[in-house]
Amino acid sequence: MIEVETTKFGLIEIEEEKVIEFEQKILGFEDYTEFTIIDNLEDDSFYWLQSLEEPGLSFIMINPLDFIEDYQFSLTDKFQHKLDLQEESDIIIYTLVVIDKKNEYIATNLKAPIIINVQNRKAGQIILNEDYPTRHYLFNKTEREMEVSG
Amino acid sequence: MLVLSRKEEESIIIDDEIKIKVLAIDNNRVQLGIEASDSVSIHREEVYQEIQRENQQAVYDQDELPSNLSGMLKKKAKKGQDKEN
Repeated sequence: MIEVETTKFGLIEIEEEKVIEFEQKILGFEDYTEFTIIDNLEDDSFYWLQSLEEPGLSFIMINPLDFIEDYQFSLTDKFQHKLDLQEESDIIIYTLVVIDKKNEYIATNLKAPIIINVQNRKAGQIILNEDYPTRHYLFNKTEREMEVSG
Repeated sequence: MLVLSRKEEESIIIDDEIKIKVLAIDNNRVQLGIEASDSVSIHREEVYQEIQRENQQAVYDQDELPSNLSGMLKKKAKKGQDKEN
């Protein structure tokens, strides 16, 4: 077990097999390589991507397939090599979530998903060639108002 | 940085395998044609900047999820599952 200091969850213990290594870094966070995924106990829609190197660095993620039908893309050979991906079934996909309290929206980045190889826990954020938005609204105030008035 | 001048219809080749051709030039816009294998990813620089910005915003810095929002999201996720079944 490894002890990890986190701002949100305090001191946690994780198994070594739970360490995720980013072979292709999160854009803008190139200094951080090791993360782990924490399931939120109270909520089954969200996952936390917690840095092992910086206690205060965590992201919220969803599994986009829970929310979006027909989310499909291809991975470049280069990216597959980086993650040493052999089988399609070894892939787990997450997308980062932005929660904007002030403007009351939740959005997720479909253009740059987080891909994890479950076999070796190598991961990367890939920019897709496919035409997906960086900000796909899962929920926003405007939509809610539309639902009310409609 | 290497600086080259090219005219319309002229090309440069990078690393023997990526070809970038100037297709058209008008006032302040250049149209480029790029030939490269599928393993080369090509994006406008703005896409990188946009993703960096979204990533910055995605850093979680609050104590807890706003409950009304996460509740909404939960319902949506369930809806999605119903469709599959």
